[in-house]
Amino acid sequence: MNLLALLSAWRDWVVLTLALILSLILMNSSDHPAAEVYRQGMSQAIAFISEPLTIGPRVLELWSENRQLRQKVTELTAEQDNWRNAMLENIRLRKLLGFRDRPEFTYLASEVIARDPLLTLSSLLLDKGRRDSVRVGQAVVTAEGIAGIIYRADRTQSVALLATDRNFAASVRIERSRVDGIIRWAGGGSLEMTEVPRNLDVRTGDRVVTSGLGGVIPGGLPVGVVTRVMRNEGLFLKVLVEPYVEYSRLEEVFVLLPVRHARGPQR
Amino acid sequence: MKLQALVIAAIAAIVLQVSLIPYLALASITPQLPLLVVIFIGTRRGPYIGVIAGFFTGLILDALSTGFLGLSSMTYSLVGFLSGKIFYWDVALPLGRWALASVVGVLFNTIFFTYVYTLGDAPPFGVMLVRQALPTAGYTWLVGMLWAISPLYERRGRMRLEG
Repeated sequence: MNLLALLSAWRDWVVLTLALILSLILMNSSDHPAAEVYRQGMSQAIAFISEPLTIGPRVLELWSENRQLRQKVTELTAEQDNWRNAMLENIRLRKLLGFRDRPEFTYLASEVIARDPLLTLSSLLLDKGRRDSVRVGQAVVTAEGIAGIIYRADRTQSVALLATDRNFAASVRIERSRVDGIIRWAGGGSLEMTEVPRNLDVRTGDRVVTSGLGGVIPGGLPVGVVTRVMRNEGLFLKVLVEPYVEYSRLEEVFVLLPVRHARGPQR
Repeated sequence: MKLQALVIAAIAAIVLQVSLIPYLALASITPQLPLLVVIFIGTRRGPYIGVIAGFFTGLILDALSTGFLGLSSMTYSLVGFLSGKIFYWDVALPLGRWALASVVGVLFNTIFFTYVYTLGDAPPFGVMLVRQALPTAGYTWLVGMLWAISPLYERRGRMRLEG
């Protein structure tokens, strides 16, 4: 039997072996610049086809959201006056104490044009890119709170890594007791606050916000609410957090641009 | 079903997966349409075409994800192969064959992908499997079975294999 006949007889196994070898080579060269070019090209092509499909559901959701938002605006307008007074007082007191001003951010609205297709919903493809001043590491938020960070920024699009990705980590704080920790994905739709010493004050129902440590993500952004505190053996608490953001329903997000970036888009 | 139709089906499944399928999410869990299409191709055209379809479908999915390039192409190739092989087994009804091939394909994809995805990282394999992967597998299989009992599903008693 010649080689061709042998290969033909075992073609199922031959093609499987080739596919596995090729996959291993690709996994080994995931960081190669050519792989980035392939990812960008494929993202743009699939986004081009998929974007029109989302118009229908998006309009329906926007219609319902619009009604809720109108009601909320009315409530918030009344609340705003109180906050404004408090903010002015805060600025005055910070100046008196000689505190440094926090970095300022502007909100760049961005539409979700595709979502992570794999087992875990861990990233979003956004319709804003480098030409809109989007850069890797910038925070991505929604009205409910922190959603993730920019993981990759192409010229016209960018990829946001959601808090439900295993590589995501952010510095957070328990709003009530000012206890600091690190928020990470805990599987499913839950988050886990880690690095919290077991003697500190954390309770079920506590609100978790970003701490602003590190300077990438501004402080005070809502993250979620503590649903369970486990005092296991060891030095640290196990704190489960239910996020405010519903990651599977994101349609529009905001990228936080530092003021120096937001002044003028780069072409 | 012609080969061109299968290619279009695979691309359509990917496009739907990144656009409309997230609206079917139940507690952040979504069914995996491209996986079902790869299993379907494997059962209809055998392991050879199943592997090729799985490899290229996975490769496109990898490009759209933040994970390793090549991880889904590897998993989907194996799923295409397995579903093609399983369809040879002597199960009386076409629907029974589909049910068996899809449950094996979906479970294999879930466990293999989750194992590689969580290597050396948090959350651990067990947590990820229970909270994310198995619910996704169940949901995907359910969607596959609903489709199989719908009029859209092409019922055949005998698999058409090339060569």
